Amino acid sequence: MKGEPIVILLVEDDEAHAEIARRNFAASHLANRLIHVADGQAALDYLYRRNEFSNPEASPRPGIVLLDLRLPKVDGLEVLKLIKGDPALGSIPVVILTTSKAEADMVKAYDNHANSYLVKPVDFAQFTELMETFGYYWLAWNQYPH
Amino acid sequence: MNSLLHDEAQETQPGTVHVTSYALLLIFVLLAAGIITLSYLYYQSFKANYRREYEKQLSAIAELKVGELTQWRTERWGDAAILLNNAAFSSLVRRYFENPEAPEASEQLREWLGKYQTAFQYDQIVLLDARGILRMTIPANLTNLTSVISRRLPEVLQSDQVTFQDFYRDETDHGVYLAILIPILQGLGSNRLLGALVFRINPETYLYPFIKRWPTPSLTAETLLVRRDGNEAVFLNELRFATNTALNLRMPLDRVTLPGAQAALGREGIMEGVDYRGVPVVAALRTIPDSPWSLVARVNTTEVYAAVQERRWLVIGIMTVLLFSAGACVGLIWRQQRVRFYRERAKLSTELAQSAKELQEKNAELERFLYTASHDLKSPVVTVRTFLGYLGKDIASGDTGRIEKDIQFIRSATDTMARLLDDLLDISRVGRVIVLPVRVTLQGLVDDALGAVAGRLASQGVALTVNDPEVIVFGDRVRLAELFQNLIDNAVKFMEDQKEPRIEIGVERRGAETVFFVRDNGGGIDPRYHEKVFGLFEKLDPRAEGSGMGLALVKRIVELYDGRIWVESKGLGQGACFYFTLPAAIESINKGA
Repeated sequence: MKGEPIVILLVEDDEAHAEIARRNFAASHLANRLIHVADGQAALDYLYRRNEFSNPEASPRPGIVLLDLRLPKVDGLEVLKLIKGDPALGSIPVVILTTSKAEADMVKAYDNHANSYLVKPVDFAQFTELMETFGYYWLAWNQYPH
Repeated sequence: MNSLLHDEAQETQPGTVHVTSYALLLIFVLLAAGIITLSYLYYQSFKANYRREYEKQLSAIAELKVGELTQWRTERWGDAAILLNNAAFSSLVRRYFENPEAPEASEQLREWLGKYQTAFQYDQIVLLDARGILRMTIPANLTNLTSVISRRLPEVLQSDQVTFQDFYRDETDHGVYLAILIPILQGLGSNRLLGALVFRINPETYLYPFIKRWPTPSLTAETLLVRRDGNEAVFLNELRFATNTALNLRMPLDRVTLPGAQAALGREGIMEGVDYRGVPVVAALRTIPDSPWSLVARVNTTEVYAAVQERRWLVIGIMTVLLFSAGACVGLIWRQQRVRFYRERAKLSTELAQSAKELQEKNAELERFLYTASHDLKSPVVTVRTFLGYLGKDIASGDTGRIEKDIQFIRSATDTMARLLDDLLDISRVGRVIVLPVRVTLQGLVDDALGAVAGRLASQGVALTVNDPEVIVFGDRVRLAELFQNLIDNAVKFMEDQKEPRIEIGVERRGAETVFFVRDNGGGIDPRYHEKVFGLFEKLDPRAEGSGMGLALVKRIVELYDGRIWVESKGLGQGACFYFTLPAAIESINKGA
């Protein structure tokens, strides 16, 4: 680990939930950088460096994607499918973070090679713990190739 | 339309077709039975009539023959009677007997008798004296009499009556003949006999041909004469289907089926029997008065029934044709019924598949609704709970800036929740609450809609025009107004930075369809999202206000009126046009008009 910050792409349409993530990552003091986009189309634009994200300096390749399922414009599953179907992006771990506990959603997510599936807990303490654990696991312990 | 199909479908239920099949089979059986019975009755009556006619004909022919034979016999008796008590003839014979050499009497006698022979077609004439000696013969040179005649001579010579010698066989030439024996009296009160005359008749000259003659063309008919001889019937003439029968063919009288035997016994009338050849025949029997003869007029049964047979084939032919026609008719009807049945069934199954599909779609929609509702409702709860947690921490640490932010997030989340719940309630009411439908113009609906969005239109300077204000729709006025309100609201919301924002509402006729539209010159919609915009809680712009339920509600209202909705937009910045149909709201008007 060279101490280079891991870029997290958070795809979340709910501003409040994005704020929660932001606060948690800020609290964990881990070397990372959170980039938040509010819909599926924006996520794809970022990953493919299109439109407002065309400058590669401003939009570095994310180390991990935190993806909500219900998203405006392009659905979360569709975004997942496109990432995992693209050899250039497929290796980026995609962690689903959603309110949906629906079996069908989980099956579809794993079918499309989601790396993890997390359900947002309604309880504050649990949500905080989940984000902390996520931080330790994916940002501290998990190893990424350079 | 739907109810119409339904009524037709109920008209023939699958079960009734079997009943119809049996009914048709029964009808065919009845028809066939009727046809066969009628044919049989007709044939029987024809046969009976024909038989009766034929019997009449047979009887008439027999009667005719009997009449002529009686006449013939009477004539022969007459011929004889002229000579029996003829004084002139008697004296001529006496003179000739007394002086046979005298040419005068001899020639006179020969001339007289010769006339008889030629005029009445007697075969031979023989003059005998009282002792039975041949004195003159015509033709000349006959030497002796046949024994049959000789035997009868004494009897004739003792009587003063004419005697008829019935058919007999001559032993010299073996021919069959008849003879009339006439005693010649002394004359003038004297009963002394001078001699006798024998007139021989050859039946071949007249009698047989006459008997043989049949007045109509026939292959098997003939008449024949029989007489009784002890216990036997003797056939007297030559027969059509056997040779050398005259006096030779004899048959026992106890053969009850033999017409000849029955005739010989004196029976008269019509009988069916078996003739001398063993062939079935129909025969008319008659006795000939003052004679030993009986007449049989007979014809083969097959000939009698030939016409009947012919008629039978004709009847069978016509019957078969009728049966086939009846069968074909019934079959055709049956086929039509089957075709109709299968068509109905196909239609039913199509309808069933259709409703199954509709049900499936409704189910999927409900599932989607539950899913999105739970997801979207859960989101603000997560927000509220989480920020309440932060709020507690921030109050403890006295971070006032964060406290305000936390409260802001909580308020916003509860607002979202409240709006979601309102909208959900609203959308679930579409179609569930029955409102008396009313007639309302397009302008009226737009006016109703403007009540809720006029302020926003004014503040953004949006111009709104209605192209076809007079178009009338028939339905729930509040819902239809809500439909326009949401579409106008949606258009205003996405005007973006248009300098001269415009909304145009109107009607287009596409074929038989009336298509409503709400067109704007705003931001437009990316073609990729043309389907998605109508989804529940679906928002293209996460920052846009509203719960994402407006267009879903619009879609539900359109579907309530059996319509469909779609959006046409060339893309971003090109404006958008929402098209929709309301068949149920239009059709009601046409029906009412």
